[in-house]
Order: sequence, then C-alpha cells, then structure tokens
Amino acid sequence: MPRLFKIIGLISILILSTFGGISYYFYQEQAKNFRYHRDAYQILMKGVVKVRDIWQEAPAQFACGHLKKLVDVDLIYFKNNPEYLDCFLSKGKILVRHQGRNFYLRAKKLSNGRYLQVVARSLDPRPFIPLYGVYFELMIDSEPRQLSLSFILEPNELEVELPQRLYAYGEFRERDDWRFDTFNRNILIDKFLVSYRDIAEWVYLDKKSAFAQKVSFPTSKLEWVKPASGLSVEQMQAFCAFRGKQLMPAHLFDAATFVPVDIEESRPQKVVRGPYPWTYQRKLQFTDRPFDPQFCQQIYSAECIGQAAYEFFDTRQTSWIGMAQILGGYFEYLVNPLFPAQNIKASSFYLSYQSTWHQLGKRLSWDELGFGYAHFEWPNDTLLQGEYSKYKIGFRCMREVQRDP
Amino acid sequence: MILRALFLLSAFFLFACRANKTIPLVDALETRLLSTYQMTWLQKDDLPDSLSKSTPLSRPPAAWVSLIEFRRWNRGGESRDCLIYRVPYKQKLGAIKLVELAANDSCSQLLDAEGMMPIAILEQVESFSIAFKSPNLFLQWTVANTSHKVEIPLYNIQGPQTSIKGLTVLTDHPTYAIPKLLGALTDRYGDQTATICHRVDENCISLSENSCSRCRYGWYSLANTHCPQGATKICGINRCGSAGEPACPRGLEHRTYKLDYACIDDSPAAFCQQGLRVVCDGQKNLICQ
Repeated sequence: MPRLFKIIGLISILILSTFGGISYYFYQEQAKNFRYHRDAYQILMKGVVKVRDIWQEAPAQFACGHLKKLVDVDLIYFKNNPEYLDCFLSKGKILVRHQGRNFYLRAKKLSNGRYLQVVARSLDPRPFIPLYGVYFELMIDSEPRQLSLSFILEPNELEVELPQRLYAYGEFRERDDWRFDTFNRNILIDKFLVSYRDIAEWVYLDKKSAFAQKVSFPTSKLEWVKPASGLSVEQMQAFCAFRGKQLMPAHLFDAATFVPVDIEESRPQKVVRGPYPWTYQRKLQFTDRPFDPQFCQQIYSAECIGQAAYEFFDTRQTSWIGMAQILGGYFEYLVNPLFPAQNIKASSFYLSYQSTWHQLGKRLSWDELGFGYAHFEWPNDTLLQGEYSKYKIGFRCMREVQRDP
Repeated sequence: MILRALFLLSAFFLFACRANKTIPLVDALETRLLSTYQMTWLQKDDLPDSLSKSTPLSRPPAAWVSLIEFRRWNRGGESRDCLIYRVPYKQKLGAIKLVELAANDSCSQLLDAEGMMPIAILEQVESFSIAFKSPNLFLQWTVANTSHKVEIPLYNIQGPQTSIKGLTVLTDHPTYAIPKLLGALTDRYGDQTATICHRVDENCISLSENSCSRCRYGWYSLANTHCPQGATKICGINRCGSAGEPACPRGLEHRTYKLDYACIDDSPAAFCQQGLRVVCDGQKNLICQ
C-alpha cells in the first residue's frame, strides 16, 4: 500500500513538474513575444513615417521606370504620386533605427502585383477609406516573426484652399460688379488639371463605370503626365465624383485666380482686381513687343509651340492661393452656373500671345458635343492661330470640406 | 532522494510561474495598448474631460469605472474595446481590465460584470492614473511598489491635432457591418432622388447628424442657411443654378448693406443661371426656376 502511494506521489510530482516547466517556458515565451510585438509596432510606425515623408517630399532619386525618362516635368509630379511611391516601395529595404539597432522593413507585394493599391471611397464603403489614397503593407524583414501593419496615406500636395472672403465674377467692373462670398464654406481646389495618370487609375479601378470605360487615354505611361483631354462633360463630372469632388465652377476659378488688391481685407468695399494672376497691373507688358520665348513662362501661347517647352505640372506661375495652370496651355472646362454657355477658359496655346483673350475672366463658348473647330464660338479678336481638328480641353475638380466651427 | 529533488523542482517551477505571472500581464496590457490603440479611431471629443489631468483615480472606492472606449477600424470594420478600472479601497487593491465589446454593448454595461473574460487584466494595482495630451495617452500604475508608465501615441486620432497627418493605420480584427455609402451619380434634387446628408435649419440648428463623409460621390452645399457649420448638404453631383436644381450659394456679405437670411423668392443669398429665378421651395430651400 505505501508503495502504491509512493508511485502515485511520484507520478503526480512528475506531472506537476512537467506542467510547471512547460507553463514557465510559455510564460517566458509570452513575455518575450509581447516585448517583441511592442518593439515591432514601434519599428513599423517609425518606418511608415519615413514612407509618409517620401510620399510627400518625393526626392527624385527614388524614381524608376518611365518616371526617370520624363522630360519637361516639374518634380512636384512625383509628390503624392502612386507610381512614384510604388518605385520607392519596390526597392525593398527601409532602414529604421530603434533602441540603437538597425531594422529593415519592406513592403509586401499585393495581389495586384504592385506594392500599393490606390483606394477611393467611391469604390470602397469601409469607413476608414479616404476620398483617395494609397494602401500598402509594411513588414519587418529582419526578425524571425514577420509582423506586418497596413497603412493608408492620403495626398497633401494636390489641393489649395480658397480663403473665406468676398470675391467677384469675371472681369472687374467699376459699377455692378457681380460679387459673392465664401464665408462659412471651406473650399479646396485642385492645384493642377486632371492628368492622364489620374484618368488611368480611374479606368483601371472603376470597372463598373461606363463613363470610365469609354475614356480613351494614352497607353504609354510617358504621356500620363499630360492634362487629360477629350473627355465629355459627363465623363469629367464622373471622374470628379469618383474622387468625391465636383467639376470646377467658373466663379470659384475667378476667386482663386484674380489677385485681390487688398489681400488682408476679406470684406473689401470693392473687389478691385487686375486681369492677370501675378500682378494688379491692367496692361500686360509684352503684348506690344516682338515675341520672345521668355513670355511662355507666363502665358504659354500659340507662338510658344516649338519655341519653348511646355512644362507639365508647371509651378512657376501660380495664382495668389497657389493654383497652377491658369493662363495659356490647354483650354480648361468650367461649369458656369451664371452663364452656362461661357464654359471654356479662353487663354490657351491656340491664341496668339498678343490676344487680349489671355486674361482672367475671358471665356469662350463650347457646345460640349465635339472637339473640332465648329464646336466653339470664336470671336474675331481672339487672334486664333491655325485650325485644329481636335482642341484639347482639360479640367480640374474642387470640393467643400466640413470643419468644426 | 529523486522524489525530493523532483518535488523541489516542481515547487520551483510553480513558484516561478506564480512570481512571473504579473510580468507577462503587464507586458500584455502594455503591448495591447501600444499595438492596438495606437490605431484607435477615437475622436478627440470622445475623450472624457477627466483625462486632461493626471491624478491617481480614487473614487468611487472599490467600484469599477469605465475610462475609455477605443474604437478601431480594421480591414473588415469596426471593433471596440473598453479600458476599465476597479478603484482600490483599503485592503482590496485595484485592477485594470481591457475588454472587447460585443457589437451592441457599451463600456458602462461591463462595470458590474466581474466575471467577464478580459483581453488583458492587471491585478494588485495600488494606484492608477490616466491622462491625455494630444496625441498621446499617458497611463501610469503601481504594482508591488513599482511604478510603470506607458505613453501611447494615438496615430489615428481625428481632430485638429491628428497624430500623423494623412495617415491611417489599420489593424486586423473581427468585422462588423459596414455602413452603406450614400447617393448615386444620377441623383438630382429636382427629381427628389438626392440624399440630404446634413440638414441645417435657418436658426443654424443641425437637424440631422452630418453623414456627408458617407457620400459616395462627394457632396455640395445648398444656399438655405448661412451658419458656422455650413448649410444643408446634399450627396452627389452639384448642378446648382440650372432649372429645378438648387440655387448656388452666394453668401450674405456680398452686399454693402446687412443681409439676413430668409427663404424668399429672389433672395440675394443665392443665384441661378441667366434667365432663371431664385425661388423658395416647399422644403424651404432656394432653388432655380
């Protein structure tokens, strides 16, 4: 009998000690695991801040593929550009220093074969999806357990804010100037015209949109830097809607481009303004002089073609709030809620540099049915240079945002 | 002899387990806080005022208090966790628990649920304080006379002081129903198919919650009011100024004389395209006719 007790006691102690040992091991492992996770998250967060900085600052050294071959493009094109960020993420190792040690992170290759995925709220109802952004996953490369986190980055460089103040529509008139104000409204306007890269994203992502699927755009990525043209008004509207925005209205275009004489005063007695976005002067200095390619930096007119490069995403001439691509270059479609027929920004590379239509507030009429000469009204004094079978009409979007009062 | 050695070994392991029990729990709590709540989707306004000062919590004694609800969005949807604390009283020391909420529960419902299985628990807590200074949440507790501090940056906190602007961090957790997006491309105010996502009356009172961030294709403002929170807003493509559609907002300050808002025909607070007239419709909105 005592022998039996001894055996039972021995077995019990063996079981207990084994259990104790295993538990102890697991507690230690768990503790290690928790500490590892805590550090891992901190490392990943340090890594994503680096990626965020690259997304926002876009140093040229990380460009790859077609981006390296682009010419006549302002480097701002790389900022908030998914093509560019994909280059950076595909290069692999992102070095992070944590507690005196080096760790390497890398982005996971996603099911689309790239290192990021463009996301848009209009296509994805999950509440954390922004109007537009890029999704990617980062993982720690140098640890035995590969922990990863997923992130979404939103653009920060592509819009400018319209200050809340008194504005006026069209050219300055001493009497009966048509005024409006934007108090209590937070309006963000696209800095640039919509590019073919934007359109390509839309076409690839929004397979169900008949508007998107009927857009023709260049297959060569080198052309994607160009302002998108050849879209119908419905297609332009649908693109802006895809981004959660509206097509640019004419009166807000005027607000964003005419320099207010008294910028400090948001409620001026008169909204005095000149016809050019960079000066209060009413007369343009170079119209009476022989053509000089230098003029193209301010207004890319018909004479500039072949004489000076058209710089895409040009930021040399921006409006008082930082909006680019204002005078010259492509036509721009504007929704005109006051005079619907006046829907095209006239100043363009179709008019001579001497044309008085290279002024803010001057708009042509387009019937919205086609892009040939006959679809526009051409007043005699436009100094139209040549005749094209297809005029290029770009567009941009805007939106209102809600902010706490 | 062997028997004694085994007995001593097992006693050591059991003791070691017991002695080490709090270490993984502290780690668990800290790791959970650091790893998951960095990604919380908390609104700044959701943080209780009491979090502005960091004094040890002492009331109500021996009772559970709800400190904070962490809302997180992950790949699938929303999940919510509560941080609750039992305030110490005399010999009964405090406890900190993290509990994952079921879909329709609230943190306050957990307070008498002593037996609920937490994600992490820390007992024998002598004192505990919690404070928030944007964007960091500071927790400090004392166990066995040892003080422990955790500082958690809330990366996804929304508000004027967003932790990392323009960045959302996602976590992978259970899924809940995802609310639908509002509006379609073809919606029109004139057809009564448009979705109002924020209704504001002429006294600047919001008659509905602002759900415009759920509009599939963006939103635009009506000219029905002139309020700090904006006017009534509609999901979809803005066709203001055209016949049957809302009049475009023109503001109230473009005139040199003072202009009060009123939904009246020919109101100068709105405009329509040439040839149309601003009129006040049955919904008390200015439209174009």
